[in-house]
Amino acid sequence: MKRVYLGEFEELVLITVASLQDEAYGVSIMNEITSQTGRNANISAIHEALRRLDAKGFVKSKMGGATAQRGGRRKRLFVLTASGRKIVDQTIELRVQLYNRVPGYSLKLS
Amino acid sequence: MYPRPPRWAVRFLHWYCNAELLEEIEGDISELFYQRLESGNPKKAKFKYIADVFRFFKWSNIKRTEHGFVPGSAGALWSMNFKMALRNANKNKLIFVLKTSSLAICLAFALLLTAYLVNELTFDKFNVNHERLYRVTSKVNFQDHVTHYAVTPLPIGQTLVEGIPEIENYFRFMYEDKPILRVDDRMFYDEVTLAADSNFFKLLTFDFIQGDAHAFGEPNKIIITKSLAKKLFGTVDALGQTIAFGKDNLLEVSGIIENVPSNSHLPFDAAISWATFDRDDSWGNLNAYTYVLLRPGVDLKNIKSKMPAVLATFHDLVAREYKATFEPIFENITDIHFSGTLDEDIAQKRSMNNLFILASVAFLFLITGLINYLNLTLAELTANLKRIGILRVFGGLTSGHKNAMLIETGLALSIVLPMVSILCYEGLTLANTHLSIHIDTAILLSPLFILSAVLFLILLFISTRANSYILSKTHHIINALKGTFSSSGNGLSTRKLLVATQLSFSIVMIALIIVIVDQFRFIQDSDKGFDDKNMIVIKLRSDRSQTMHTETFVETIRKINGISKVGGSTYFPGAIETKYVFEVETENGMEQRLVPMMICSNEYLDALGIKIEKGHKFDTGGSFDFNSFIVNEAAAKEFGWKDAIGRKIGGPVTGRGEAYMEGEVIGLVRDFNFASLHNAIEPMLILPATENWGYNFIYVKTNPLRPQDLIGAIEKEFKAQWPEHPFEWEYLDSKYLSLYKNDYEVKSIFQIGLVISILASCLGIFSISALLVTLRTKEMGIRKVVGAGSLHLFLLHANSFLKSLFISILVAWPVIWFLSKEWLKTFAYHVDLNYSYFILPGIVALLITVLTSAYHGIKNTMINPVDILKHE
Repeated sequence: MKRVYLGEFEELVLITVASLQDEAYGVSIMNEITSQTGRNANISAIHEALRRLDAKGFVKSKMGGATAQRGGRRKRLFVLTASGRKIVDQTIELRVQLYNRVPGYSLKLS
Repeated sequence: MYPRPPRWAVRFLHWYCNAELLEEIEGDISELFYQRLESGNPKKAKFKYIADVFRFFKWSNIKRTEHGFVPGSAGALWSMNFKMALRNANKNKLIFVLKTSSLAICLAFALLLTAYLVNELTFDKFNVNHERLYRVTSKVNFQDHVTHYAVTPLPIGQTLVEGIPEIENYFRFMYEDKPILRVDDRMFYDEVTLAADSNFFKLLTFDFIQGDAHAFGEPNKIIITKSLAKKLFGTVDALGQTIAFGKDNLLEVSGIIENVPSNSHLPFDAAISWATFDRDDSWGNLNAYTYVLLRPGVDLKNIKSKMPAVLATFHDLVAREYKATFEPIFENITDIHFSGTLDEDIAQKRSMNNLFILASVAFLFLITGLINYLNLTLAELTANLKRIGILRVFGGLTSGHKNAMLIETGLALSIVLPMVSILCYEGLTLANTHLSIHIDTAILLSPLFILSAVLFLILLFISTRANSYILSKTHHIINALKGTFSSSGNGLSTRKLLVATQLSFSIVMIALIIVIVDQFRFIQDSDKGFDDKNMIVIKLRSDRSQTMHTETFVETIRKINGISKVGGSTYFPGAIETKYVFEVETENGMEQRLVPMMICSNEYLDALGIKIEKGHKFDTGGSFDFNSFIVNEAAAKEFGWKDAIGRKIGGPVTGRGEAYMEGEVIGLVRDFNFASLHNAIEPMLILPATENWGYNFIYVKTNPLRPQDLIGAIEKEFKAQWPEHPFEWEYLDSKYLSLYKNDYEVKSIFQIGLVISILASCLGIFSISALLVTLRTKEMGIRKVVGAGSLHLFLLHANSFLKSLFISILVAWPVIWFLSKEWLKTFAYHVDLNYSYFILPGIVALLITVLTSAYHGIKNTMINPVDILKHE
């Protein structure tokens, strides 16, 4: 299988989409990232990342959920696809695997 | 009322954003906006909204499809226009190349001329204090003869600063000519050197690379320019090095400055500290150049009114000793370059007349370039009329065509501008190496230059607008579809007018070049009163060791085979001329007069071929008469002598007392002109060389056949005599012509200009005749069928240009008259304007017109009528 790579930011956005479940759209993702990681993401970067994820087939989207604050405009709501789910699992698994191979902290006396 | 997102930002978003993405993007950023509004101030929220709009302004969000822009969007329109412009350029490759290159050449030439003008007009403005810096010069009225010296008495600066509180400071310097500088065993003798006091570098603005002006107050210090440091030591890092000067002076380099800017009236390579020299600091020593710095906001009138009191003792002295009056004149440092040359002036000068002519040429060039561009664009437009017509049938607007024109100009400019910058840069270096016109590249960054360059561009855009105006006259779609502009005319009249303007410019250029060449021939042919052919002038240094052995040296080189005559004199073209006071016998008895004088050896007048009208030479058959004078005709006229021989002269009154001599006039020589023809011939007293009065220029008349061998032989003798001294020599005739350096600059600029302007007008005529042919093919075909001959058809074709030619000649005449008058005014002796200056250019222009229109004209007559008339 050809490996698909995820950028660091894309991965962050993808996991955030997964965690937000049905309420994942531009602004909510941005707020979530800001509150969870403390880093200042900018909105157009998030749109860009979502579009890339969409093109890779990890998320799918539908329109819906207009509010007054948005001037009656609908949100584009994102959910993970099966392959998106898989790539999240794979990535986390890979990380854990690698992490387990790190030898336990021990003082090296010489 | 609730704050809303800024309207224009929303509109901008709608304008660029892809419709599919618009909803989510706009929703998101407006949600963010209201979120921020709740937590902070509205201004910040608005600002962030705008920032977000711009963040989304990227390629992925812009209206387009996979294959390009969305039809109907602004991007699509512009890209179509761009494509059209490219296709047009591709279709008419020749015209496009001609159009852009002629515009680039004209623009570059106009810009170069502007750079030259800016360089001239910004003279000395680089000095921070230039508004308050004044040069003091002396106007001496001696027996109703006013002489204006650039130099002043040595103590005047100090006296003025002490006596007038409005004057803040002063500095003075003396001109050292070109002394010999020694580093190790190498000798340098071509450096312009000043002896300046420490204020020189404080009041004038020079950039120090190393060191500063502080130590310059002490004796034996020297400050040199960057290029001289490189020449002497091979590196700029020369601080603290020593240079030997004169007999046994060692000068320490206390500073290295950037090279003196090309727009400084005072070019120099090195400055030696004033304290190094032991000066005669008396009022009688009229030799220092003095500059004063006024306090800010001081009126010059206040100072003038205080002057007499402060200088009272000096005025008394002058009146008592010399029976003269003295008046100090203040001249702002920026005016020095344009004021006329004063006595003993070493400043770089330029006459305003020359600049005026150059400015008008620069302007005319710009106009020519634009006209050519317009002309050719119009030609293309005519070819594209059908396209425009079809576009309009489908509902296109005129503004759309205007945009198309703008894009086309932009495309042309994207090629023209880099070309112009390359041409400008190359031109500057070429001017530097081939025409010896020095312009610092820093001039290209000066505000005045940038302003005029921008003005040029604006003019270009205005003229393309003019094209759109012509376009907007094509109201009738039907006419456009037929390929003509309107029912009344076909744009030809406009183009003919443009070509006529261009032609008249070329005529002016031709006429001016004829005048200039004629004046130069006049200068070369004019009877200077002496013969400068095959004459070598050897320069001697005025120190004692060299003047001592002059006679022996002259005797040795006289024996060299191929040298016919050797003479010596104090006089040399371009050298600073000194005047002395003499007592001269006039109708009212003995009177004191200020006259230039020259000391020469016996053979000198012979060697130069200066003709003696009356009397005889100094040497009459062995007996050498020391106490005698020879005068020139101008002097005889000045003193009112009918018969000059036997008149008494005594002098010089001033100067060294032991050199005073009294005697009679023994000869009268014909006027000879050592200065350029810009100046009238001055009276001249000629004294014989004696022990007290030496000369420092040896004139050697050589055999014309092998001058190079002779110079080698002379140099050998020279080195044997004075091994310490450099052998410096020049040809008299080339030195004499170098007096016209400024005029040569104008001449070479005009010669280049002439070629370009003729090329430009050829282009214009060529393109219009091409258009004419396409417009009139059918007519020509019918005429041919009916029986017109080839010659007749050709004349018919050429005839359409002759009318505009005659108009342009009539327009050119007054311009020629005015400009050439202005230029000739700068010469005291010049050619007179005659009718040939007006007729000849017209004939040349006629030839150009007929020849360039001939290509299409002949092609036109060769056509087979069947080919043209068949398709309907």
